[in-house]
Amino acid sequence: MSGSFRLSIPCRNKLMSKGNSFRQGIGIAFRLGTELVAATMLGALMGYAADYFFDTKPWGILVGLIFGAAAGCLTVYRTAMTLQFDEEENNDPSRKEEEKDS
Amino acid sequence: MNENPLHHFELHPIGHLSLFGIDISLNKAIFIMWAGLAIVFGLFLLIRTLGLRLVPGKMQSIAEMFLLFLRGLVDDFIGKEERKFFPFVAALFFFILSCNTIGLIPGSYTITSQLVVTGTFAIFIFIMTLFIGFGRHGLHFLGILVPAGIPKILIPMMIVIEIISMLARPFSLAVRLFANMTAGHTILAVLFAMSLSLPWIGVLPFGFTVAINGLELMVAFIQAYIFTTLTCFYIGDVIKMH
Repeated sequence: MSGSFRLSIPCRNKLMSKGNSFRQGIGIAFRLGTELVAATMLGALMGYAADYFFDTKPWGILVGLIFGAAAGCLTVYRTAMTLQFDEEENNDPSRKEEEKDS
Repeated sequence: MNENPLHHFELHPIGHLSLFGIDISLNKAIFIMWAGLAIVFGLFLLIRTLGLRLVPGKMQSIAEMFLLFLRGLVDDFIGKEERKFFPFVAALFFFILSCNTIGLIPGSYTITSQLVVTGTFAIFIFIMTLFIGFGRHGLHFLGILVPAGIPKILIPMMIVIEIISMLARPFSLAVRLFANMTAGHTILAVLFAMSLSLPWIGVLPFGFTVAINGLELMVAFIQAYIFTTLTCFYIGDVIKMH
């Protein structure tokens, strides 16, 4: 079905272009904020559930919170690393030439 | 005028329907969801029937711009040889985008402001990534829980942390979309209530609602974009295994 849809014009709109830093930045901002909170909350919830079912009152939520926070930090760290990687890739002149060819 | 700003998120069944004793009454949200689907389908059908040209018209340019952009996302995050995920990603993007933007029309409903809807999307995507992962890598897929190059003592702890960060993915995906849409619409409702309850100075909050509506339009686009980017990222992650 490759011929059925002709992709003829290049992306002219700035916001939708490939390396638009504003769009990428806003994406990263929305991502990092929630990911840290989500992982921490999920860890705490799992700890709370463990407390509820196994009757280990204070310990489950404590350990869960610590593990959740660790998971959140890890996710944010990984996202930040990919962000740096993207920037290096965008500055790479060989990649720009590739884009021009395609 | 003393109305609850969360009042417009409430859903009430229209009429009563039941199938084998299960309540399947329709409500506003379901009609809006159908409308969202119909708009996406109708617009693309319109573009198709208007005819695709080498030099595209307005509608075709917009569609091409979006599709090229989404194809770029699939290429970047999943890989060029995995373009079979493109229809899924594009459908997800356009559906969320249309649902988000329909919600900005006064009197309609934002289905993405319901955690049930966004949660269903997220859980479906999560289960799909698990299927793809186990399908591609078999039991080696469990290796995603152990990052490369860590000391052996840390492995049991890392597995717990990795499981939590894996399960947090659908959670954050669902909560992000839901929270952003709900927050925006609550602000609009509060400002509207203010402008109705204040005397002549109520013009000011009314002006703000116009500005916030513009902001909400941007948020609608950005949330659809982030949801699809992360879907691509998660699918790519289980295919490439880091």
